[in-house]
Amino acid sequence: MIAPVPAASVTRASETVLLLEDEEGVRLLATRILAKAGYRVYDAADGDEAERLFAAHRHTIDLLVTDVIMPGCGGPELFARLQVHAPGLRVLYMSGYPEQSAAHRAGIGRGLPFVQKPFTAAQFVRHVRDALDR
Amino acid sequence: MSDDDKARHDFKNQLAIIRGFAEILLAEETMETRRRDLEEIHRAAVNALGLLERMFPSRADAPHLPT
Repeated sequence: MIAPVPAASVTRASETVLLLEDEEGVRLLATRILAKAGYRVYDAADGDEAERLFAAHRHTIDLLVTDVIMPGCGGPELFARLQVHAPGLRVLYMSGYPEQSAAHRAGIGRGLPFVQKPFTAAQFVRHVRDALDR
Repeated sequence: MSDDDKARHDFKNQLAIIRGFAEILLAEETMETRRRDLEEIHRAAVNALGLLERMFPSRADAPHLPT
């Protein structure tokens, strides 16, 4: 017997995500995956652009999805800055480096919402959902 | 982080982009001949990611940690 599809997997998301990823192809891919799942996405290639987008849309942004290690402003540094203005903002870190080394390099604790790159669409969407539902 | 670590990380990113967009197109494509072609692209990207992992295990991906 085929198990019924859980309702959660067919419900389209309605939240807004701010995505920061410096690698263009990965950024476009992540944006497409999120948009297909129903999220509204603001995407930024660097920390400055992310801060500008956040300043313009801070009341609608629910989640920051950001690479951990980037040239210039890293993900954790940006999240700390944005949180000052929006204490309820949630975060999902992503990295192509293993979680332990990415967390160590960024000076953040383990156990924060984290998705390992490369990810499949299903993995990415699940991590985003989990980060929002925490 | 060495130049080799960075190159490996960046190469993996490129393969992941190919795999990811093939996956997106596969989810939307209904024409059988196109699906087969897309499946070949997807499979090649998955295999290449696997080969990269075998040639350079992910331990070597890690930035240097204190022991």
